[in-house]
Amino acid sequence: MSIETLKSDIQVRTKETVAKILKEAKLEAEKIVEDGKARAGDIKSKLSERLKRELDEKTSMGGATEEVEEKKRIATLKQGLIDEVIKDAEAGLRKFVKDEDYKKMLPELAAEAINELGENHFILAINADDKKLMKDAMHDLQKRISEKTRNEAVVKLDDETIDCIGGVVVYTEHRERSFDNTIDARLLKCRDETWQIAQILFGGNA
Amino acid sequence: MIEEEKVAKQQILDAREEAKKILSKAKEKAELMVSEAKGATEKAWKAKIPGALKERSKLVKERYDKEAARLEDLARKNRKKAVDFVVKSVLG
Repeated sequence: MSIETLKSDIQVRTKETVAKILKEAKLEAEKIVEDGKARAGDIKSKLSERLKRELDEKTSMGGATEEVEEKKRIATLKQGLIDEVIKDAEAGLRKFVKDEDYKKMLPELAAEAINELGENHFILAINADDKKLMKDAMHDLQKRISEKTRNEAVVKLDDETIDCIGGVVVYTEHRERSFDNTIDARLLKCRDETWQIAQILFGGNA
Repeated sequence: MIEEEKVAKQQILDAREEAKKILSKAKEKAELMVSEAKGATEKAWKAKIPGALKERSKLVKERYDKEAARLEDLARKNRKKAVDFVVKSVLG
């Protein structure tokens, strides 16, 4: 081999080697970039999943607090609507005590309270408007009680009047015991059973 | 060693150096893609949080507004019945 051929051969092989080194580096670089793309995509999807979960948790936690507040609002609304019914009923009862039917009812309320106390001496406390009405009914009431208990019943009107819509508070002789049978007390009892009112107002969703 | 051999050796060393640079750049690019993907995703989700919370509040409020309206409507329809019930309960 001549020296010239050797030189030329060295140049050709060097060129080939250099080309091979660069080609392999480029191929490797492409692979690295492709891997990077894939990793980026993977990170994006996994991170999105995690962040979505976190966001859902955040919104549901925030939502739970809001739900509690809204439930309170609904409970307040319901109570307000029930209170309006009680208020209307009270207005109706105030009208009723001016009616003829109430005249019959007042002695019955007194008799009912007397029966509950089960003694012979009673004091009836009523409001000022009912004083005449009760006085008129006293004789019959006393007679009825005496007959029922087979004892001479003594029923007196309290000198003091009470502040109420109507009805009566009956005391035993020495005021040790009493039975509140005023319209107000009966209305209060009704107010304690608001679930029934709610049932009527809101149906099955009370 | 003849001169051509020295030149060839240097050219190969240069090529290896160049190859290293190519790979290093590729790695940098790949890392940048990964970090950009992470940053962009986090940014996008973080931007969604206030909107999502607001939307959730809106939905909850809407649901309970509807419930309130429904209850008020029922109460309006049944009010007289309920008042009569109370009055009757009181009067016995």
